[in-house]
Amino acid sequence: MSRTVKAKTVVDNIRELSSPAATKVAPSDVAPPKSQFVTVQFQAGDTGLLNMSLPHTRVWYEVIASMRQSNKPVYVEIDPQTNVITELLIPLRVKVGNMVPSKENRNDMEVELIISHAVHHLRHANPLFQKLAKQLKSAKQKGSEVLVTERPDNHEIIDVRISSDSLDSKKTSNKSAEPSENS
Amino acid sequence: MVQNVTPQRAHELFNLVNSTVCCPASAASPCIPFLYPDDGCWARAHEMCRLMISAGAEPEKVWIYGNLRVATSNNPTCQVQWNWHVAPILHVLAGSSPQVWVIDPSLFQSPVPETTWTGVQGDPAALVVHSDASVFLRDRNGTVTYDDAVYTETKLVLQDHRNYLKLRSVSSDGPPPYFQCMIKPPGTQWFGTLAPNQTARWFTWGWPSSWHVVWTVMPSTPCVGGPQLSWKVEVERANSSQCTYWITVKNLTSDPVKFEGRYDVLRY
Repeated sequence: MSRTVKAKTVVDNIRELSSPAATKVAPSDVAPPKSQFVTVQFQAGDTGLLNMSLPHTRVWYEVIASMRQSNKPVYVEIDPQTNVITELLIPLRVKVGNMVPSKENRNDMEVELIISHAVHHLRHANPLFQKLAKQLKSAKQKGSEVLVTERPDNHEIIDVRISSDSLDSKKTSNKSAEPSENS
Repeated sequence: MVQNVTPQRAHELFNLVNSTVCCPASAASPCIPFLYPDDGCWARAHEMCRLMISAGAEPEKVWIYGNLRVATSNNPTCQVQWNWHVAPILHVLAGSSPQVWVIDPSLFQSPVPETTWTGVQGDPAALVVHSDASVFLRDRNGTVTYDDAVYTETKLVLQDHRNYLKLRSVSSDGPPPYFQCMIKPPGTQWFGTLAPNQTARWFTWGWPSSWHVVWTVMPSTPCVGGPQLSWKVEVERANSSQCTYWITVKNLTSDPVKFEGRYDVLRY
């Protein structure tokens, strides 16, 4: 019987990023051997590892360094077994505008985010649809800023958090960094 | 008084801004992420205006609002959907009367008449409005926001969108353009992709050995600064009348590169 462990998701600012040469082995026994790791420390205390032996990771490192410099948050998915970062995305810090049923599928929603000129989609097929829709509607009613993360190719919203400008950043990050599992 | 420019000057100004296009996977300031058309047009338009103003031009802006859906080979889904869009415009003396031309390298490879630009946006009922270049943001209701004089907000938005472009370029989609959105042009035998510093070999068979065929490769992924690809052609005589070409292509850069494998028959 197989057991699938879901990735831990963190949306937070970056406190520290070790240089590629500074961390040569992963602190965990289950991490892949013979690869070079960079440690990413988040404001709320979470850490993740960048496996620098993977072809895309040089660019991920540059993007994380850029976001740290500008004191902006990133969205990461972290393998809870190896602590390796498996996805890196950049949330939009936005206010929520109109939310209307999609023209293609009336169960989906098209979401206007301000400032953004793209059309953003909330798919009904997403298991988190109700929760995300509620968060977006709440932010729209309050006129508050949220951090919205979406899939990079089709602008499908996958995560919504209260912006750290609205709450204490540590509190927000702790709240958002709970790992979850599926059996 | 509106400044009119010649068509040649409009092309020069287009080339001026288009020369700042970002290398997708290593997009570095101050390049403009034209290859990420999804979002950030207001910052691209403002930076283009700044560059053109520095070159002595007097651009304005055109804003369009509607259910916009534009075909593009620079998004893996082959289209972008927008609620609005903005780009710089120039007043061009073409023929007997002045025309409005749009400078929008995220959509076109040259300046285009405004009617052409609005025509590709997918909404004939869209609202089109002009403003002066200093307007940074304008909503559908006409509320405007002016950027500060040193373009602080412009720089921040451009930096964010360079990062979006970089992340997409190293995702499984790879860098733009996306071949699934493209029609193979005449003389193109194949589309290829090479990882950073990768060398790979392709072969193509069944070519009449009596033909004189020349093979070249052309990067589809823009990246200014140095050569991106080199290639070597080898040939195998497969039988008395046909041959197979073996083409080895090397990526000379540390970024992924997409390319066209092209041929021409000099003599049949």
